[in-house]
Amino acid sequence: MISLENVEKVFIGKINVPVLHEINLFIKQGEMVALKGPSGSGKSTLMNIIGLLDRPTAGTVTLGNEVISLDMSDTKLAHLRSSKIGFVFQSFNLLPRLSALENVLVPAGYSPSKKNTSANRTRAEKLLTSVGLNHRLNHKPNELSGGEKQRVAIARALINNPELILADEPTGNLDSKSGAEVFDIFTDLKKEGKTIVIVTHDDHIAKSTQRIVNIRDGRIDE
Amino acid sequence: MNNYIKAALLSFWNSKIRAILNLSGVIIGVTAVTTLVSLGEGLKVEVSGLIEGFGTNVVTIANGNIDLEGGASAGTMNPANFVATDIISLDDISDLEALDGIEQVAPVSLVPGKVTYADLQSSPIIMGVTGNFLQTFEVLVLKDGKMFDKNEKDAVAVVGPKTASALFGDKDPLGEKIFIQDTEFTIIGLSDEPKLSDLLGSEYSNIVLIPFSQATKLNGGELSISRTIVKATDTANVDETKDKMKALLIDNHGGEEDFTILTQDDLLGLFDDFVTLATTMVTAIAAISLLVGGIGIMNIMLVTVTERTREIGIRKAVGATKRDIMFQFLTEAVLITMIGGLLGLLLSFAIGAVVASQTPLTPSITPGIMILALGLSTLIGVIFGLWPAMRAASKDPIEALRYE
Repeated sequence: MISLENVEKVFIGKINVPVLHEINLFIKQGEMVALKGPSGSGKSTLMNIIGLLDRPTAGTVTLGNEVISLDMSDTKLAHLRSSKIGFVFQSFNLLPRLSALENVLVPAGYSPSKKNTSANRTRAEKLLTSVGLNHRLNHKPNELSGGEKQRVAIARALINNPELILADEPTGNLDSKSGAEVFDIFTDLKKEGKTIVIVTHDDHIAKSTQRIVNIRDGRIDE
Repeated sequence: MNNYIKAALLSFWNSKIRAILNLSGVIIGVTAVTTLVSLGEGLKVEVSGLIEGFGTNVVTIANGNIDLEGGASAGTMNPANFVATDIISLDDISDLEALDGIEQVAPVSLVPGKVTYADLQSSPIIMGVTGNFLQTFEVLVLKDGKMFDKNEKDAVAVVGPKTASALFGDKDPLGEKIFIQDTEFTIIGLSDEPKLSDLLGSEYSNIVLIPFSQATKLNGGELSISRTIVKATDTANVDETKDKMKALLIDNHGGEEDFTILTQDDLLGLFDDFVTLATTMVTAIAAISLLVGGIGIMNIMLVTVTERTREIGIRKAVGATKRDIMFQFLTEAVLITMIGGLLGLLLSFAIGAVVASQTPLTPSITPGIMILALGLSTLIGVIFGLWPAMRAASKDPIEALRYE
């Protein structure tokens, strides 16, 4: 599903800062993996590279059957993000002026293939129902609890039916009960065959996944 | 596209006060352009009506050489000729009368001063004319009494309706005596309301016509012809007659062309040129307002882009391309300026209604003007929204997502 071969990342500036060294990582379809490491370890950069938000300085990234070349255009990367990856963030990152339903529909509007809005709407309602929010469709983010917001964000990540869910500290801003509920949704998604990568420094969460990848000083220490 | 418009409307609604304040430049600019262009259009309609009211076979000889076509002769004109009154002589008049294709020649001599009746005073236009004036200048029609003879020498007068009511009220003016300077005139005729619209015809309501020779006397014995109105026998040969008149007058004036012969078409052309010039100047001023408005739009869009950095990051992360983000913000800028254009248009409709109710002029907001207003505001949105939209589009998604 995901393969990183000899991936290097250097932040170019007045002083070049190497962040990732010789990363070799292979994640199978349907695997649930925790990327774990202290802050500054390079795990966010690694997640950005896996999530196609950033390009490596050297090395090869393959996502599904798509080889990500170092000079791939921004537009191509955006299209790949739209069709293959669903993001879930620690701070939810919902658009404050849109309702829960409209937030879920945002990625559908950018999908190069799916333009049928009524079908998208039905799917968005179904997804929100599946995360237990059918009574919150028209609520704005500020009218939702943290757990509810994160469930909206998960529904949003799923609207374009991506193969990979990339979650950055998805339970970091939630109380333990809401966190557990959110984690249960990920477990269900894994059972449906989604590949799930969770960035976390929460041991409890990490241990609940089937595989933990530790990152320390920009190197993998599995 | 639908999504962009929805997002833009939502964003406008969320910051409507700020947006409208920033829009004021665009609103004022669009209002200025549409109001003035529509006033110009209204004036054109009015003046065309006026000029047609004079009769299309009427030709006017004015003093001084007005350059109708522009070009080489423009530099040779002497501005003093415009105010000179000794250019057309009585010989010219009698030569013109003898010319083929001319039906009537009516010189006009203006007399400065007031008209008094008992202790009442009025300031009408006092015109010394020959008895054939009313046959030449068909705008004026006699209502009561009679016009004086072609070569009348006596101190008689024909007054306009406004002058009559100012001096005599409801009394019959015929037979009354009025004073112009120290000469007593007996009123023998009353003219009707002029056959023209209120705006430009009203001055022919407040007039006093006196015999040409009396006007010369009042002007201190000096011949003073400020205008000569000539009626051709036929509408079809107006241009031909004009050429003949021109040749004759140049010959009489020793080769100098110190006059201008204006047909009604020439007058329309002159007026069109004037309106076009005025419109161009006003448009230039409005353009400055629109420029300021555009800068206002750029300002609000730059603020919006910065405020919504995180939103841009989120949208990019979930698959928006640079093009998507650029279109989103460009649509927003264009939508804002189009709203400005619409508000400006509404405002100029309101101003037009006020002008129409308070003055005889009817501004006409044509579909062309509406398209101009909306087109102009859309263009401003595109021009001044482009850079902020490009800035939004070029934001790095990782940086943008980190933005607090």
